[in-house]
Amino acid sequence: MAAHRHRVTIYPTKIHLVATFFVMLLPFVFLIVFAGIAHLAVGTLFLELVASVSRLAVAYGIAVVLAWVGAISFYRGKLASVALPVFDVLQSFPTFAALPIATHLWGRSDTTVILFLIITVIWPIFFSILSNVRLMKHDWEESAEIVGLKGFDYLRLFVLPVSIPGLITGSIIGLGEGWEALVATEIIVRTNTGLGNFFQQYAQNTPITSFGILGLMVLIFSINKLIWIPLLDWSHRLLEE
Amino acid sequence: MDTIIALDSVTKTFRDGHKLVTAVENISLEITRGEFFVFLGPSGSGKSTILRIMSGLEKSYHGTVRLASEVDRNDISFVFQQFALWPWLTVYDNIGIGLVARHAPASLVRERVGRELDRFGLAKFARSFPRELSGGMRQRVGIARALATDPKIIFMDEAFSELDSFTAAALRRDILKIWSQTKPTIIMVSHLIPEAIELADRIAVLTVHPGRLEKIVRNTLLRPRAKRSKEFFALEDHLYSLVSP
Repeated sequence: MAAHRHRVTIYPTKIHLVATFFVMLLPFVFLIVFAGIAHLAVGTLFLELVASVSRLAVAYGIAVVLAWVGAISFYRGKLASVALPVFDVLQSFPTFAALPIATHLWGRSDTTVILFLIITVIWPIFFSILSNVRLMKHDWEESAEIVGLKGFDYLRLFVLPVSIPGLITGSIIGLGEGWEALVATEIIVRTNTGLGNFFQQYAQNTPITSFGILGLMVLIFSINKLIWIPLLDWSHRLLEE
Repeated sequence: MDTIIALDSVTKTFRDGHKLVTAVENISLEITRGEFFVFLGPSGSGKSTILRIMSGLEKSYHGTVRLASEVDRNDISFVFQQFALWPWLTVYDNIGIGLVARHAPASLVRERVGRELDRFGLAKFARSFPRELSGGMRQRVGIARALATDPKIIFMDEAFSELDSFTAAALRRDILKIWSQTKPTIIMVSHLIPEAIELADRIAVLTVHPGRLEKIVRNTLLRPRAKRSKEFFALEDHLYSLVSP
């Protein structure tokens, strides 16, 4: 594109940025304090956290790509009228019912956990992008046609910006469900690492489990505050006329 | 005659619930290269539908639309009633998007966008986003975007109807100046008789439900057209009688 790209002003003031930075430190402070109180090794606890976050991050990345490609492929046309009811049924599929079979097929592996996280995270992102692009102004589409945007340029310069608010909103909802599914899947699959493993290990210890849940909430809050809320504001401004 | 676009027996129907509605019926006409042609009619006369058919935005219709052999899709531009600017792009990028779509070299994009920014007094707003502009400025960007590709045909769908009368008058003057200098073919839709008289070489008057071509009136008033002249009023009366017989 030409000289002037869209300005990304996620943090309106320096105070906002500094405050967000401190919020970002919260989980680490919590981790150290918690490890001290519970007499656990900080490193072990940190590795459990990294294992879980990595699984969720990989699943989220794959889900975003699949959801975006799917939503863009099916947001209009004759195929959409057939495919969308099918997707609607698929999103209602009780995924945990298939977890034992998946564990039997792929074992107690990262693949099983990631696969189930993808299935959980993908639908809110898919439907959010879908509704976003379906509701786009008809004038914008017509102007894209008149200026002659085609192929990759059409996707990059037109569809991608239009779909961003849906992508952000869907990500917030999808990851919310993803965190929930992450711990549950890790417990059911009985992985050797991850937060599920941690909660399983201390299932009989109510104070440690409670602090662990609190820590997870602090982490999710920090990520929301640091990344998603500013991105949500920015994405709404992006399409503001 | 040096025809740039011709319609032959164009009819457009669409489904409204269970019934078929005819938007335009049996429209045949030819528009000459460099002409300023206006479709005039009240709401429901199908004038926007005709424009969309001619510009290729509407693909489902009966009849034929023929473009001159040297004109292709890249030679067509469109100015939308509600601007249709992309809010995620700056003024600069909105104006240049047609050139980017045609994979024009960066130097050409800079040159053309710079030309349009200067022409419409938008240079100061190059880095602004559409939401930061007034309606008049937005439509200037819309027109600049349409002109940046040096099109042979420009379609304008009630391009001034969203603007206040002062801004609309100023933009009409700008358009006439550009048209007289570069002579693209301009095909415009309007429901305002004085606007049609001020701008057009010929005026196609459409009737309502369904939209039919009542008459094509040649406007022989000398430019610049004096809006308060006897001849202007006489033509206004004549057109008014055709629009509402």
